[in-house]
Amino acid sequence: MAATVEIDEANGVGETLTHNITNTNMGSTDAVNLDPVANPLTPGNNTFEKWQKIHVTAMGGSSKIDNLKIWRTSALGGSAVHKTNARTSSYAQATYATPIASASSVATQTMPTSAPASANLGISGSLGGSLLAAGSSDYLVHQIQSNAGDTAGSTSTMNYQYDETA
Amino acid sequence: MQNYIFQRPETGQVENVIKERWCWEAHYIDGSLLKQFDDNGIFHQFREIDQSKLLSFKMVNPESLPAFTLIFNPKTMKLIHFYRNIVLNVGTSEEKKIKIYCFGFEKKFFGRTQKSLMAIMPNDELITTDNLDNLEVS
Repeated sequence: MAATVEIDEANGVGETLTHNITNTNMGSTDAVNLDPVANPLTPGNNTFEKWQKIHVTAMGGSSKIDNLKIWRTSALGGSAVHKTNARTSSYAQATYATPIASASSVATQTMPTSAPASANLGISGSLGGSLLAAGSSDYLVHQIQSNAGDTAGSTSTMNYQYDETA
Repeated sequence: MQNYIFQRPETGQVENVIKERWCWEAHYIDGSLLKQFDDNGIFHQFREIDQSKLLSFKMVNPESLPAFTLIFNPKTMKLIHFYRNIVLNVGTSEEKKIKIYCFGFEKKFFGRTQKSLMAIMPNDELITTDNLDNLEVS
């Protein structure tokens, strides 16, 4: 097979890392694979930040993974915004901090709604970085920030891509 | 799915590699041939290709679809090959994994690097472009 890739998520004060998460639901608690019905976002509040990584668990014969791109699709409710640390310029590697529900000081750029023209998530602190063996990307940090008049129950989805030299 | 063996030179570790839907073949000027998945069950990395002796680079499909051939000029071209992996709707019931087989070359033209790239899409359509970011998938 080619490289095997999963998404990992860190939570809590202790940076508890969960491998191969099953969803990236966002809501009113800092938890992996959370139930958005049990942990809904009240309009006017922010979700807890998500701290996630793209994790290559096996290279599967390949020699390099690079050019990581992250984006979202579908509409957010009302005037809510989806913020992230992912960006195609002025990039800096995020150092883990306990996820918060106040406005993130790390996720400060609007999440793109289509694949960006160049990498927007780094490896080892660089957008031009690469993985030559099993390992992880830098942290992807993102948060939805809503307004009091926003519609509840919107759904948007995450997408990612990477290049693999075999 | 047929497993091929790869021994990583940096570590000596043996890895199993499943044959891809589209695989490359490097045809050399002296008539010899290097296959990505060879007839002895060995997987070869792209970096094993000796581009200085390369005559042509083929993308072949084991299901006997017509091959796509790049006639190579070692004096002016640098070969490119990689997979573009796209995962849409992550973690939903509609999650979709897409692999695009990309190959082509770059060459210097009046001091500037120009790329000519080809992408074999999931439906086996071949698209030629100078910028793979122009590809649209859904």
